[in-house]
Amino acid sequence: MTYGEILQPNGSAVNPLTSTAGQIKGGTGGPCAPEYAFQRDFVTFGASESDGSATYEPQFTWHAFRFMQIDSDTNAELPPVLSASGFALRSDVAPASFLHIDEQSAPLLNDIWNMCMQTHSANMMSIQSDCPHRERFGYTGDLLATAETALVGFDVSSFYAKRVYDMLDAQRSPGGITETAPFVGISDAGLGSDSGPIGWDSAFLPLQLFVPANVAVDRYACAYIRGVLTQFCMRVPSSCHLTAVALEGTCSTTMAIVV
Amino acid sequence: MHEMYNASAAWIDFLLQVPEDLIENGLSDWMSTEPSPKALTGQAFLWLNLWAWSRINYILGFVAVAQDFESRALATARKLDNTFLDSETGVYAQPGQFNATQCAQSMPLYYNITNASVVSDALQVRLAALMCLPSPKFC
Repeated sequence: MTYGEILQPNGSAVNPLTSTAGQIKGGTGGPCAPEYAFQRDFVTFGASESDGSATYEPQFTWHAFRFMQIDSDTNAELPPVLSASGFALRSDVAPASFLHIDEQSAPLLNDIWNMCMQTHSANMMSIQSDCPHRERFGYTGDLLATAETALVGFDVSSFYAKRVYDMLDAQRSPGGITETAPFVGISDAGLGSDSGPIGWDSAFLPLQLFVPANVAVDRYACAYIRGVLTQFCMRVPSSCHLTAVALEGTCSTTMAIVV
Repeated sequence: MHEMYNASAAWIDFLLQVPEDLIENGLSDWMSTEPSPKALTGQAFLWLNLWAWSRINYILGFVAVAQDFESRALATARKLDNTFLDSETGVYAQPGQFNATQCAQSMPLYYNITNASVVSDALQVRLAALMCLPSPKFC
């Protein structure tokens, strides 16, 4: 099974180069690493079910992809695939807010909201990654840049507390914070001693202020959603008959006032 | 915050020893459609650390340390404005490097460290760039 983001130009197969883990291509991964770290599962089926079928579900990894290609490496004809299912995975953080605006009024706003929340969701698997398929690293700068957006959508208090511990674990002597936590050896434009660049290292202290997020979620979600709607109404007044706004979570009072 | 205090203090001690040219080179490999205001963002990130460390110390009751770093943060904010902000026009720029880019205009405004008397002009420059409206100051 090979996973990828796009198909080959002729549509014949998945292009796995679009989602190589760690950007390991052409032998850049060092000792013991594969030449190309494709997202690819090799499965050897042994004893089959009584009806001759077999089932596979990965136990030790997950994949991010738009397309999955199933091949057989034998000359035998590939058995029919009876069913294939994908399960969306993320760390166990609860949604903190939900926004839905009448489709006729603002479909684009709904799409933007869903895109942002889905992207965040896809990048919260133990760490907050930069991308779930390609590098899958816990870049601290990406976290800093998006933390307040995450506070809008999810109760990340436990998740971010864990990320603070990740940064503590990765801290270098005599005190530098790393570009990724866990540290994977990257210190591009860093401040010295394996630390990362200041835009990345700077996540450590603000994140500690974000951790008591039960309070922060209320404040950020309300302020953010109110800001979005206010700006939208100013920009596109003809579309601003928000007659069917529904918001669950912490902001119903604020939303009622805005509406 | 209490549990992280020693590690956070070590980070701040480390940061204060870092040469300024490394502070002002902090955008790593992020690709920008505009010239990257590395020096400005580096100083703004430095401010963020000083400010956050001040807040953490206030929360934990270490008032003297908090006040010290509050002063340091304010000094960094003023230095940023004095270095990059044209107080007549509200434009954040560095000759030959960047000029009123979205990032340069937004970051000081977002962190609320722009000199209060220039905030309105800086915001107008930012909005003009964002919305591409004709403006005597921009576009």
